[in-house]
Amino acid sequence: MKKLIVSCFLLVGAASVSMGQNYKFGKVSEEEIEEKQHPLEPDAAAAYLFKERSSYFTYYNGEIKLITEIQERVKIYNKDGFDYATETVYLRDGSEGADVVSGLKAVTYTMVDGKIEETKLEKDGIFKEEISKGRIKETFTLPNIKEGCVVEYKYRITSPYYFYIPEYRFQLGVPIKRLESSFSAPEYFKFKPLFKGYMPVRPEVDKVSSQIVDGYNLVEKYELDNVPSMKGEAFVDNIDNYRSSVYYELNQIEIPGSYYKSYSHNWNDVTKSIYGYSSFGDELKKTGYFEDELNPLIAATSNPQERIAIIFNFVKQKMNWNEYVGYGCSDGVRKAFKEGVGNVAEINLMMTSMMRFAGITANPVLVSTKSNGIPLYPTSDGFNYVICGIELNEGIVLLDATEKFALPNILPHRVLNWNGRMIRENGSSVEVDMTPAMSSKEVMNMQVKIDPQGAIDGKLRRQVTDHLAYEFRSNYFNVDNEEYLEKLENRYLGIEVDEYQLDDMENLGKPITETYSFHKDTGVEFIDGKIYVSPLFFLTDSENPLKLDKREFPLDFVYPKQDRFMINIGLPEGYKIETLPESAALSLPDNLGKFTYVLKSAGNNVQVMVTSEINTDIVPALYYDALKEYFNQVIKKQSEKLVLIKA
Amino acid sequence: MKNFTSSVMILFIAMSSVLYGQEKSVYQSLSMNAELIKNSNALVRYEKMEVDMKSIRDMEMKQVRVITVLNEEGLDDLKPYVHYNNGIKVKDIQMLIFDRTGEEVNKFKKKDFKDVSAVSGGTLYSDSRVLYLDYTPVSYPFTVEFSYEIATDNSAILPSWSFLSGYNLSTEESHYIVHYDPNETSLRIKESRLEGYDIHKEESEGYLAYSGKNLEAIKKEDLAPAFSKIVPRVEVVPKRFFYEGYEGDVSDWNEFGKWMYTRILSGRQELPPATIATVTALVKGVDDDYEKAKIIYKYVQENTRYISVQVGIGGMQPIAAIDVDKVKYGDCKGLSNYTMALLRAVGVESYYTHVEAGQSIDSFHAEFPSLAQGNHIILAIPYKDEMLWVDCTSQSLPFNFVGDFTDNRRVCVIKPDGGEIMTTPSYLDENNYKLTKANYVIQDDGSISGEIDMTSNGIAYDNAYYVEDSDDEYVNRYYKEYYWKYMNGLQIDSYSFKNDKDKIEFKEHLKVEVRNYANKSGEQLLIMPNAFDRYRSIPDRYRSRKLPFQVERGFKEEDEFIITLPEKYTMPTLPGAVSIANKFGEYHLTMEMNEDGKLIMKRSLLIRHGEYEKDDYDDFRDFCKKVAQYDVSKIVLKQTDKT
Repeated sequence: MKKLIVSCFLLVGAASVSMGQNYKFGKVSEEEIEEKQHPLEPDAAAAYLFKERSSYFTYYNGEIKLITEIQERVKIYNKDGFDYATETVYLRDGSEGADVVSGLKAVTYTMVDGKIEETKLEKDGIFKEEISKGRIKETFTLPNIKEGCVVEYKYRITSPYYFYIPEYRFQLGVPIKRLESSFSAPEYFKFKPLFKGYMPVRPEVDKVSSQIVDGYNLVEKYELDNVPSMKGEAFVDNIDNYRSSVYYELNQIEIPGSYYKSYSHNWNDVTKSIYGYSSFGDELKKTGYFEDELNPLIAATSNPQERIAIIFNFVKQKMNWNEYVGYGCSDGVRKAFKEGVGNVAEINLMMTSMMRFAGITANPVLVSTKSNGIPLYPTSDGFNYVICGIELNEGIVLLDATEKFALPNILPHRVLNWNGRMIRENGSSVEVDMTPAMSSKEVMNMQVKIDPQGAIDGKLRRQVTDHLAYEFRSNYFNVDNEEYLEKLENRYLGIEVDEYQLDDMENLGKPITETYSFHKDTGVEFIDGKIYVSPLFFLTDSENPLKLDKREFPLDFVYPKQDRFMINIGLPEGYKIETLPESAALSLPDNLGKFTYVLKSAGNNVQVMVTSEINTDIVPALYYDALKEYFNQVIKKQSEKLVLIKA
Repeated sequence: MKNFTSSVMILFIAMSSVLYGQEKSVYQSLSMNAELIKNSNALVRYEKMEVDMKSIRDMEMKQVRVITVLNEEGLDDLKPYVHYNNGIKVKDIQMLIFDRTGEEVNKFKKKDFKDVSAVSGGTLYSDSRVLYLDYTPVSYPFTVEFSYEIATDNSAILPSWSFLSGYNLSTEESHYIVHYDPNETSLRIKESRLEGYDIHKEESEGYLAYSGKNLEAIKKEDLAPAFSKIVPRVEVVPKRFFYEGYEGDVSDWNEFGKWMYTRILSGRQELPPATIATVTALVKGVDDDYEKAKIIYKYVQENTRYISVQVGIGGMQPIAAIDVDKVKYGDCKGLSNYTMALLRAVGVESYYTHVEAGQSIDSFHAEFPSLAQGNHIILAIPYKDEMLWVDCTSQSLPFNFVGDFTDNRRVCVIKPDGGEIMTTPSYLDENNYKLTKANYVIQDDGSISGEIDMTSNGIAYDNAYYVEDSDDEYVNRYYKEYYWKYMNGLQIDSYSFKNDKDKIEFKEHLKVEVRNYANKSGEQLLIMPNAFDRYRSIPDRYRSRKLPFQVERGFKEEDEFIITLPEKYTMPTLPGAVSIANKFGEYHLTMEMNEDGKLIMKRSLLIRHGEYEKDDYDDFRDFCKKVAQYDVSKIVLKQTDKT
């Protein structure tokens, strides 16, 4: 008899809905087919009425196999839910053998003249293809799908890859009425469950005598009722970070008296086991391949700071990233160095060992990219990227040589994801915050003269630093001048740009500076003989990026930013100020950001000074309302007009 | 997505391996033609496609392409891949890399290429595969020689040849050659836009060759026709051909249709008696073919779904109706053929129709039949003197409305006695009509609240009707983040829709509030009366426009807003009436106070469809700009004295 667990997350009033349902395969009820909408989420296009998975081990003829049995019953409410009539299974076919799907049964249930009609899946609805070497995709789609139908299927996957347990996902894009999952492994295999997501889920753990070893199997069971759906939102770094799931990582195999192998269960183990991988530790030790080229370069100085700069630039210049991620080398550092092409590990481990060779204390820092999610627990599988960290008295300096425009502590955006882990040779490790400590800055100085016909002419100087400069270089380095100017002119509401000058595009250590003059025929508005001027002209923000009423997930601003605009407006001859907008200051709670707006008139000029800051990368959803209102106020303030009348 | 020829089209991109062993100058990138570098991310230095039709059942194609990549953007032009499937064999493939001086620095052979499935997201299954090389350059510029050789026994489709193959890519030298056996077949040739280029043709018995030199790169510009419509292009089709077990001999669309009908379609419309009984019962008592067809179309929409499965005759033959009837899904071919079978069962004739679908209008060549044209199937239903059209892959389109996916283009209608080129219905100018009526109140604090009614027809219907089936979250997003994106404090209090599929008319009714709508400057309130229908798409400005431009469909909008002004303010001075009329369209705007003291704003905007020369571009842009400016015309209200 299965017991109910996870008392911490049951929706009020919904717990009993699924009681009394029969989830045996084929026992679909008339009520299920006749249900018109989901009782808790009327907008749902489909719902899992029942979702069952059990994974366990078998041992036969000296081979261990992982068996995964799936049984699912899906209700399709409307056309948008038709995708749920198609199930795709990804399989491996590699050195250990192939995953095999068997026992596939699938049926569609519809109501015809008050009776349940069953349509079975036949062979022509099953498709198998090799996506690439070692990766197979098996897809089946059910027949006779109509709005309101219920589909049900079950199948078994037999896999020789028992050390890799596919993730258990407890929360999906549609609601789940009843979920039952279990994982059972012989006691000799120690798996560690790694939990993720907003909705807390914990298993009930049981010991059952084992059929395949002398001892017991550890069985972890999950039973959930009425799991709400979770869909993506704009500005979310990665929705899978918030969906509840569990991933079982193999930590250790111990067969008493005959076999022992440890993987990882604390950070020291993780560090040790990663250093133990030949594609990592061994590659990091190699130095012979670069010594001849590096020696003359570092001989020029013994200053550690200078050496760091020399090596970083050397690797960036020499190496070209092939866009593969991973913390393990693929072809090895030697070949990568020779060809000038490598994956993330080859490039950054190479740089780390060069640093060490030059007497710098450098260590690999494991990172999980934004698309890979967040590693919250000691695990080697949670990371998919490695950079180089150097410990100086002033703090840790992070380097990633895969991008030509990267700088110390200015890393590509893909790695700006929560925390990394610096792993040292001695087995110790330390968490490293990937959030950029410094705000990236944008400073604009603008002189603008309004003529009595409403045209504006002026000069603008714009300087950007850090990540803003990195982005600018990455976006525009290969764009020719004329094309860039057209983009600039169109972005700024059709101004005409002249005398354009760009400084320090290639001088990475410096901010980028653009200067130009501009002209616009209609830069202000005439209403009833008065002139209405937007004090920020074409730099005015007019659209709030946050428009929806509520938000469930944190907002990702990628890095902290500071803008400062200084605008000097020369009024047209024969006009004087009728209304000067009031100065203002706004701030977000907990120093998350602030906005100041100051206007001053001096003779025939008006000076406008604007600063705006967002001081963090990720803003928790609880600040959403405050943030939305803040942007509203910022936009409202900027939209206030400076009104001029004839003197 | 709805690509029934995907596996065949592949031939276009593919070819094979004679190495270019001539003068070495094309491998170096120290000195290149300056005119060809302008606007270029890469240069095709030398390119040759050689098609060798040994017989109509045995065809080999070899392509070699030497390309110099100038910067990272140009990497996309390398295209180091070949598509293949069960009907195409890749005999050889290789890539050589040369440095700036023309020295060979790297060589990749077939084993270095990755072999992966080339199935696109919307397709459930296809045998389409691709061999590609994952190459990371070490420095720029560099030069690549990519070559391959493929063989197939299908000769219905030869690669077409554009002497320029993408934006920001120039061509120094390009050759296209076809060898064939004149005793077995002849070639039909379609040349487009070759004039004005250094392109030469050579022809003799069993031999056809084109060569082009020094074609400068083209930069992408707003509103320009599709790339394939602006570059020089040659299409070639053998009169006699072999296709997946069937021989064909086609010299016009009529013969093409006959061949399709007898070889590919015939015998695939059988239905089980139970289904025939069901649909016969559905149309019982209905005599009119229009009404019958409408009932059958609805039955198909309610009982089937679209799934793309590219198997069987190179993706050309529909799954038999009896199989679609069993599983209740199919791709465009299967669903169209199934609908045709159902219609036949109730005595309504209909024709399977090849079309090149897509939002950008693409027509079949009237005089040049080929299997390469068309990527989708719709049905044509003759009714009295007209033709009705339906797209059987949509579960929501109204009967006899194809929307902007297949409108206004030449298609091949396949009748039992042969094919016929016909044109699908067009939705132009006033046909694409949207009427917006609003009645709203401006509060003293500058916020507004009111009701809006919108009525859409034609393509405006097509652009709007789907919100009806969307969930609440999507509907909110649609208005807040897309339709009225420019309004920051928008609150949707309620909405309702009415979709009249008979009139093809969609109505939206909304109650909204907008906080901080009007702008306060001191004691003045600045208001844009046009809150709900603003024209905002001003095309980009170019320092010197190079390409012609087009408005493919055009549209008309009419608006009438009744605005209640806040009480504590004086009557505004209203801007004078605006009226603009030119060849691009018309715009009229008036604001008046009515006897009840309400502000009445009336607006109409017509943008006509048309094709224009580049010299008209600035005027067109100016028109758009003016409309956008007048659409945000402001009035000023002053607070009455505070006494």
